[in-house]
Amino acid sequence: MPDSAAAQPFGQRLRRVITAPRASYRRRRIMRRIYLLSVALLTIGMLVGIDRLTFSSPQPWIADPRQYMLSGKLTLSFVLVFTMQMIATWLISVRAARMAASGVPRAGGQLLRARLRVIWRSLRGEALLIVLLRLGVFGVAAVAAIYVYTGWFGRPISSEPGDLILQVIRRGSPLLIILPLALALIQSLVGPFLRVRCSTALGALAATYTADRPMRPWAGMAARLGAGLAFSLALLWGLTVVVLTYLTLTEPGSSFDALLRPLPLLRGLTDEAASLAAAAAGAALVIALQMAGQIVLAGVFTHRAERRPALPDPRHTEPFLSSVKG
Amino acid sequence: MGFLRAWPAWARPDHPVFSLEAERRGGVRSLALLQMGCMPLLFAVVGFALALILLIGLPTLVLSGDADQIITLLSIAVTAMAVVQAVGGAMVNVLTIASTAPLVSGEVELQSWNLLRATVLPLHDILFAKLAAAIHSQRLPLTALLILRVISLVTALLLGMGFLLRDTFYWMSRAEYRQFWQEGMWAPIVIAVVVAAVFWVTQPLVQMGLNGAIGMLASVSGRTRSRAIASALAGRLVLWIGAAMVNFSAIYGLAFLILGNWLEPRYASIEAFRTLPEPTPAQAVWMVGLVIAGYILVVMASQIGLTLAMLGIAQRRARLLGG
Repeated sequence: MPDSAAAQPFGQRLRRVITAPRASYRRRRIMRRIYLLSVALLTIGMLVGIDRLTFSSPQPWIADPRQYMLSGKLTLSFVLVFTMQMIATWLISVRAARMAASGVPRAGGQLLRARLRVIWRSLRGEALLIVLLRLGVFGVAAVAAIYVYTGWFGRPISSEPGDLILQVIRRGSPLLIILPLALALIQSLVGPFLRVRCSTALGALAATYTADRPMRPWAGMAARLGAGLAFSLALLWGLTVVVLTYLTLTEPGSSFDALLRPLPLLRGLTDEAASLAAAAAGAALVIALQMAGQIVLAGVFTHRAERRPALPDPRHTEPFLSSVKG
Repeated sequence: MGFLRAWPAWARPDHPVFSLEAERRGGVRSLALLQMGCMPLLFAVVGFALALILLIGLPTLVLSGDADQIITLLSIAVTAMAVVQAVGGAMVNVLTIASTAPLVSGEVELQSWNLLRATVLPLHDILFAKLAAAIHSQRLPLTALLILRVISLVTALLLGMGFLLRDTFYWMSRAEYRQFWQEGMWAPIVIAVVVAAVFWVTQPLVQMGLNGAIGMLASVSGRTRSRAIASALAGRLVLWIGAAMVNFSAIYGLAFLILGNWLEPRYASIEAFRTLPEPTPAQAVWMVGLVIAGYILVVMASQIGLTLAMLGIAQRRARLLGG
């Protein structure tokens, strides 16, 4: 047995050592597949349900029943798919951090990257599901755009955000819409994988600060959830400081318009369209910052975790390195 | 671990009673799960609430074009954080009481108290080492609560700044603005805010001490663990209701005296105030600021005093146990 084990490639041996002690590994894999399938089926089922059951019988006083039905169904579908991808994204972050914290840190830290790669691979399915859900969000938005801007499926429906977007493209610059959309698309495609990388690295780093083995998964989860909280707080506090500073400097106006008006790209726009353009630019900035943060921080956390040997567990020692190296 | 040297011997992990108590606690899996899960749970709830507020609030804020709505957004965020803290704090209070109430009553029930008293360790050390171990086991929930307190304090300070800038300075004339800075009217506001901030941030620590003392007092009073836990929880409830009633009455009374009578003597309902001259704006700000700061200090002092008094009584009662 030791000979055949030694003949296996190092990666396979590492994977075997990580997964073999867990008797429930196969059950977990089946559960993961059930989870993926159920999320996909649930989303599709709810979309079909929205199409069939909601906004199907407009009240007699509604002037344009077609407009009412289409905009209602599309908005609800958008909210549903967006919420589903948010929940799935949140779950994968916490799961990745938990897995990394419970399985990765060992004394030495040389095998950290290999161990993290094993976890990334095991979470590929979930990440792909999130990509699909995010593409679903874009799909719903694309269908809405077709209904608003083209006559392919009959008379175009009117939409205030649609009109504002058109105004920004025509009178301002198409870049103001295309750039945030492109960034959002890139974030949708690579974001889940970056998030997994960052979360696993953070989980591993958090676990190196925890000597008690049973506490490591909790430390990883707390670190990941704390990082999400810190991001939300940075957004809220940063925006507040910017807005209050601006309001103090431009007394007595309390509208954004005074700030937006001098910008050359927004000169020909109405107040609402200028606000929308500013919001799109702000969203693009946040997405870019988030992606940059995920890339940079994943490297920093991994580097730090590698150089921080895990604290010895006072109650448990595992001859892990010797078992891997044969 | 050099900082541990400054602590009393009974609060160090190498103290025999401390280590014995900590080891016992490590064996209770459900309690450990509750303690470990507290921090991720609190972060998850607050993070989710904030994400939801931002997701709904930011587009509304931008599309409305009204920058003042940031204050509404902050108010909702502060309210959400306060609610989570109240619920989380209550949970940690119960956990603290549940871990401190069986400290001595458990020993008495299992008839090991006399054995413990037969050692060379003084009673004071035994009691405080047990209490320290119980509070030490609550360090994760306590850290989570302290982090949330700091976060909500910063958010509340930003909200206060927003109110000050948009609702106070905005409507001031140049003369009033100059008077505000030159006559030092900002000083009582700063004093009140600093005292309130210290009170807000230290409350989890003070409450943990208070709950630990209640648990310890119940522990030396009850002969069984269940009785001690029940009486400690009942005591905490009575104290909570009593504190709410006293605070409500005191705040209402002070507001009635200062805002309803002293500030506007012409319309005072208490006749004695009608002969007094109307206070200047500077006097009014100083009085209100100092009363708020003083009231908070009195509340803090009474919480700490009550904790120390209960621990003293617990020590006295413990001397009579098993004798």
